[in-house]
Amino acid sequence: MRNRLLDVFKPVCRCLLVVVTLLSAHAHAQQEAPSAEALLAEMSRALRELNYSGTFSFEHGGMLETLKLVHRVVDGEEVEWLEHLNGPVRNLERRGLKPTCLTLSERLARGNFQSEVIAFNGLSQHYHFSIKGKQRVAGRQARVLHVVPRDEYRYGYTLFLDEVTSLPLLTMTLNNRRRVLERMQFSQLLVGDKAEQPGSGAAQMKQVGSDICDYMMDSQARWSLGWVPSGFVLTSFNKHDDKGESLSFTDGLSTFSVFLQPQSETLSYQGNAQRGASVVVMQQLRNNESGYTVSVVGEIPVVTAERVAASVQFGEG
Amino acid sequence: MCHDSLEQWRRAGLNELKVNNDKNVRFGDIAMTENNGQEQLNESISALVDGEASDMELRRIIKASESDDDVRKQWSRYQLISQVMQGEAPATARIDLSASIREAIDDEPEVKKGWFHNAARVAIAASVAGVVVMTAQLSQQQSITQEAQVASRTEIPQAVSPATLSLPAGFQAPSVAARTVSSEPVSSFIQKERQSNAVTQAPQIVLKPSTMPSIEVQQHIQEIMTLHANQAALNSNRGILPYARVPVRGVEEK
Repeated sequence: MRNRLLDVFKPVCRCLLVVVTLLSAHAHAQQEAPSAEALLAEMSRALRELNYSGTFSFEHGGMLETLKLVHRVVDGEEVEWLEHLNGPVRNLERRGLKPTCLTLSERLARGNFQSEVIAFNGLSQHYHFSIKGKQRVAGRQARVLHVVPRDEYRYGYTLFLDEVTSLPLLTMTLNNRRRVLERMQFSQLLVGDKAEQPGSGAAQMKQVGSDICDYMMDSQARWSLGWVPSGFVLTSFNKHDDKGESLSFTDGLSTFSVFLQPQSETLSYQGNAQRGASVVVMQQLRNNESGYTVSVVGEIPVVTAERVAASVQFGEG
Repeated sequence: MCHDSLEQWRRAGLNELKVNNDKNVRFGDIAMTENNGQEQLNESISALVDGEASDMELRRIIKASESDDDVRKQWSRYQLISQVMQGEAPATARIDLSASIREAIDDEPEVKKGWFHNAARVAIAASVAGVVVMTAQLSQQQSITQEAQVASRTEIPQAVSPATLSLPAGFQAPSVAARTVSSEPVSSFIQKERQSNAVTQAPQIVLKPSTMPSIEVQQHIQEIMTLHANQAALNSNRGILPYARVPVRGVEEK
């Protein structure tokens, strides 16, 4: 009796074994070769949800700085710490953001952005993604992700994402001549419980996340931009004590802000300033009887910033 | 007048020059240097394609090709023409990609295998990434020069040659390792760069002391970069990194 049962079971077991092996191999294969967009979404998630700490070098504008970074999630809230390790003591602490509250750029990167106003077809509409091999950074294996812009209005990136966590271990911002404008590279990264605690020293700068989890689609400003590069969406409208008002935009990876304030004698400057990947463009314009100063700042090419500055218009956009 | 007759002779008798090269080599030489050498050179290249060039012409071509890119291009063109005339034209025109490929490889920022290559790339990236560039449109009272307009159009200064700038600016002055836009007048920052030979080609930084941005403007730039970092640190998918671009004003440790 038993033998006959076994005779039935053996082929079934064998069949099941094959099926299970195939399935796990498939799953493993999926894990081994994610799409570039999926990788980017993973990176976006990892930056918000994981505990990690490390030291990294930051090269920009001819300067090489080293910094320490800590990110921890405590009781559903993020605690972040950024510390300059060379030069004057400068610590920054940010608290209060919740990983469940996604910002606009995160929605764009993770592909869950919906809008009746803006047609969104994924970041690949404006960037070409490709994964090219693996490299070792900070003692960890990383996948190399190339992000190449499809137009001249934004910069490109090369991201080395940790194989295990998808955290960015090395990132470079590149202009259209493939010149490295800015480079961040971890020399040491600890993830999970091993991550350090945020610094206990005084923080010269403190940022507190807002309780409101929302993003802007329309601004209440009485001025707007006649032109933004394709794919850039409005993230916020802010009023400042002495900087007038500002509109900020992102395309998911690149950001810029436009400040509009009444003209003053001391700020009648017109021109550009560049450092690393950042650009500042200042222009003066008149509306009826009043003069205004427009300042565009962001990690975008000069041509973009200049065109944006020139497109400032009054009246609701 | 001697020049004219030489020119006429040259135009009329070039074929003879090719055939009677032993007798007329000297004239050929003079013709090349006194007149448009390029035309003469093209004739020589054409002869070479047909396998009829003299030793002298061959030497001339080789010497010219060392300093003149056009020689190679002309050679390719004549080759193509010759093949077309003989009915042997290749399916696709041959384009000399070697120059552009070389350029692309040089600019290639990807990390390649081999620690030496990596180290070299880091050094170059650190030094070439660009320094503070202030390009000012002159005020209404002053006219805008052609150069200033060109300057405001350019993106990042390209001429910071790795050869001349071997260290990032900060390392040359240890006490100011993290100089920022606001922590010192821009003029002295630019001055320092001139001393280290790191200033870009003239058209790309055009600043006269009278149009140097004021302290107030530099402060304004610092402030809006900080305000922008608040936004970038929320909406770039880079975490808190954007704040690293704008050092918080700190206190020197004593």
